[in-house]
Amino acid sequence: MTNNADKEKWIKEALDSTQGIVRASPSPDLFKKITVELASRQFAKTRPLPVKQWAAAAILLLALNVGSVMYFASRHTKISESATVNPIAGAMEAESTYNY
Amino acid sequence: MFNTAVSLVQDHGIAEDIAQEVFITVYKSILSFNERSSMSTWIYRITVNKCLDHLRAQKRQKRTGIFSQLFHKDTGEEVRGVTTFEHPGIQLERKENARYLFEAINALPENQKTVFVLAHIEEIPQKEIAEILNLSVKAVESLLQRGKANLRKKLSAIYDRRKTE
Repeated sequence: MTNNADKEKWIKEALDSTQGIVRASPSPDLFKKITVELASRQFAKTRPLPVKQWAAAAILLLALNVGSVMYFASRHTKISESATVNPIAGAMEAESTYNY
Repeated sequence: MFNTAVSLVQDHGIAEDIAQEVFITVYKSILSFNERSSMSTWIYRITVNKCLDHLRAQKRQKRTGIFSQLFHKDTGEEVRGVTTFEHPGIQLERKENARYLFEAINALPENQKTVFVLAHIEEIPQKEIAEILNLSVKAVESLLQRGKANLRKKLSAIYDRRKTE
């Protein structure tokens, strides 16, 4: 009976042993370690392309597109002009051969 | 954050590593923090998750090798089954009893251990514990009761072991 009472007393004491506990604090150099770690991780991050480079790339792309459209448009005009002249010439040639 | 980590993982060095990881996670994801819960609840949640991840990894590691349970990986010394962790914040006259209490806490199931540490060592109200662990207050209450009952059983076994030593 005394043994059980002793056991219960000890269990209660063990359970109450965290009363008045003080917060544990880390070693003083932890903050320094964290700042070093953060700095190294930020340095390792990929650098995004600057705005000026993006703008130059966009202007170049636009200029190439406009240039190619103008080139194809002028080429199309030349082809259609020669296509309207040739059928007439053919017909005239045929007619002149027949008459001759 | 460090106090929670050291109570859960019961190792000063690992607790510092976890505190460092928590700080970096908070720094990186501060912009994605939604104000549905308080900042302290959010930080506690990250800390608890990191500690539980570490404890699970440790458990897995122990399961993989038969000898790793018996001998220390680096030193080759025999590993004792009983933890000898001493929380640095315990009052001197209570240190011995607290060591046995932490041994018993360490043997509790994960969720009971977490709730007990948050309630009795961090002294966080049950409502906030429920928010941290995404549980209902009733569930926290029940876990705490079961945890205490289990602690009593484990402490009783420790008392008997001490008598025979």
